[in-house]
Amino acid sequence: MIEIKHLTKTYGDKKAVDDLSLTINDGLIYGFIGHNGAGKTTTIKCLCGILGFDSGTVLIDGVSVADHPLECKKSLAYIPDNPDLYDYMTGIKFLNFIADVFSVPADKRSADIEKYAKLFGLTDDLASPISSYSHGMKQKLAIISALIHDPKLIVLDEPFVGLDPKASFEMKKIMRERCDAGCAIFFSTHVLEVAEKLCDRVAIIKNGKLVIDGDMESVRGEESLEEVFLELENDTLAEK
Amino acid sequence: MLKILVRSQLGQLSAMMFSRDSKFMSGKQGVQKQRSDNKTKRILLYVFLFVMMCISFGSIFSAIFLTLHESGNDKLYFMLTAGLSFFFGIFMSIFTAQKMLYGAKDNEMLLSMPIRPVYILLSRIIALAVLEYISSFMLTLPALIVFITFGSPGALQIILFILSSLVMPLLSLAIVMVLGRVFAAISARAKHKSIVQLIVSLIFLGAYFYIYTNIMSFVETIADNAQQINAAIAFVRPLLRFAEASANGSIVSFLLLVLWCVIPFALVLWWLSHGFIQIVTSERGAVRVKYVKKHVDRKSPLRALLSRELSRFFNMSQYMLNCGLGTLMAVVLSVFLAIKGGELDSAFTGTGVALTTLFPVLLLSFSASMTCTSCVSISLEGNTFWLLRSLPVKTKDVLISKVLMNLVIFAPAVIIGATVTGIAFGMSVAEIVMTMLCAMLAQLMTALFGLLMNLALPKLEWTNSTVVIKQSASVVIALFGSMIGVLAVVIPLTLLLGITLQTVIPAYATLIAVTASALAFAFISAILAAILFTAGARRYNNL
Repeated sequence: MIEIKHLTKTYGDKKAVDDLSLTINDGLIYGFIGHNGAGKTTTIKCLCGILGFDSGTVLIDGVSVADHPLECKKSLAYIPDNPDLYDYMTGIKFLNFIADVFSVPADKRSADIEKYAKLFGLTDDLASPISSYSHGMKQKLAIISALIHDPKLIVLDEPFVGLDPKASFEMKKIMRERCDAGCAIFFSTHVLEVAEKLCDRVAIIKNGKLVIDGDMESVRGEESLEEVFLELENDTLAEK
Repeated sequence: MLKILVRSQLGQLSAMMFSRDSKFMSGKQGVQKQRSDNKTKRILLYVFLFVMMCISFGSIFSAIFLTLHESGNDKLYFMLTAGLSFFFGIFMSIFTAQKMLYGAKDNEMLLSMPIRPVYILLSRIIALAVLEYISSFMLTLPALIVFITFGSPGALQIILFILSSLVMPLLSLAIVMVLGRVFAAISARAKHKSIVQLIVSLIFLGAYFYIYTNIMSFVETIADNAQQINAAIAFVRPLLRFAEASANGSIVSFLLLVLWCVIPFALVLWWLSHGFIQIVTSERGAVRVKYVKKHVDRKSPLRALLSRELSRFFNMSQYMLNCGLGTLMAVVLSVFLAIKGGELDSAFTGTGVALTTLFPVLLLSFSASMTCTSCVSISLEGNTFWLLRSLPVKTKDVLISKVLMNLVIFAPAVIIGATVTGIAFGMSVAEIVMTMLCAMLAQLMTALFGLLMNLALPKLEWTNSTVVIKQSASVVIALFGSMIGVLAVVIPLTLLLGITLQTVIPAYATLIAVTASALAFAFISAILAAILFTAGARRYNNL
């Protein structure tokens, strides 16, 4: 589904992502792990066509994000770590706006909004302005907006931050269901226990470079994912 | 600590007015020089605008001073100066105060830090005071120059005038802080807070324009009733003390003025600092409306983008007031023109010139130049810009939606204005339609120019939307540039050509003159659109 080949992105003199290559197949939940400033968000933003990049290619279903951004964006949904949404809209207006942009038929959107708003406990608040929402409510709204157009690829940056336990549980369930239906999910997280339980594959990025990429089982071996990650971090400290 | 906070506040203010977003300048050679050049240009622009405002007010003050000086009423001149600068200062900063003091996005972050709340408040007040002093000096500086030029004052009078001008804004600042608090409280409880703010702003603005447009008759009335007015204004002690200090060189009056200004300021500061935490943390979540499922129709992406733009416009009172004022102005002035048009014509009786049929297009085109929502619409995306970038929408559609928004909000005013004036002046259907078309093309030119300016000078990182709307370089350049552009078209092509043609082909003079302006606007718009959809689109994609 997604092929990232030799992706490089620099900010001034700093290489935020350095020659990164990854392949994410359909039907998999792919965890993306790294320390703060490792390049996770930059990679995600390049992959979603939000940020341009210096070199390399990103292909979604064989279509280049750099050359055909619109076509790629039609098949993906992106949820950022800090969902700054349109404060001047109500929740329902925002969802309808997203549905309009993705040309979701009126009946389908109505049914999906009802279903997911109920699932995340947001129904009563849909008529309120987004400016009155808490961080968690905004996160839930962003998640609903990502689900109502049935994307083939869902890219999430720290999706569980701000979610209450129930919403977090529902989110994980939805992620698995979507993958079972053939969708691909690529998400970054610092919650390694969640990644360990949820992901089929995992990639670890350090200082912009990919250091580990493989099946969850083969990456962690006999250890926990947390131990693998900490060993990598300690190796870096020792090198310094 | 206070020093750090003040530096941060002034830095934000300065960045908003003079700088472009640093993220757009990174990684390029010669960035520092370019940044410094741009900053210098923008500072020069603001200085130019300040000087223009001073000249404008200077002409009013010279008329007032010469009239009052002749009748020996210098003191009244100073009272009026103090009064006008006092109200101007309040008008210019009242809503900025509301957002800057009580609605800043970083209030909660700063309150979580080991900083005394009064320091946070003080740092914001100091930044607000800078704006207040700039507004005040726009009046007191020309008033002083007029006084020195025509009044031959002594050194003590000049010194006391300057010192009084430095003290007086403290009083308007105190009132602005209180009114800002009141408006913050009202709008927090109001369901349609942007409408409440808009109405209050329009009341202020209406009063301002009424005074401004009737200034000469006020001067005459003042001259005729100087003694009574003197006595009436003297009740407002700070104005009287300002006048006594400046006109008579009275140090005692100056010291009394200091008390009149400093004591209220200190009291308000004390009051606000004691409730600051409660004030800034009680503004959110006031309105809760229960959702009731309704049927919605599917819109095209372009229509959805347009609805989004309209939604933002009608939910931000400052946006409506600063960028959409021309719409209201077009309606009000058209009605006024329809009523008073006969008087205008009679002024030219015997000259063979009939201006009334030319005026609607002049008025509506000029109003169009004052209606520019696009000049800040990129900046207002702010931290939600990621959404547009991640959605499958064409850059062209995003840009078109921003231009269309401008046209949509102005169109009703054009229809009303052209119809009302057209019927009142007995214009033909063709003339009315062409007047509408010309005004809409002027609006198109303004919207395209505004959007290009915002793409050239975007400001996506901000903590206060009011500051972006009111003080961004793109807004200032777009509004003044559009006004100049519109006048450069309509004065030669509608007014002068129309008057000339009236002696040759009177029956078609208006139609030809208005069509000429419409063609010019269409031509300029076509060029601007070509730039927008090529270089502008590239710029948007690189933001």
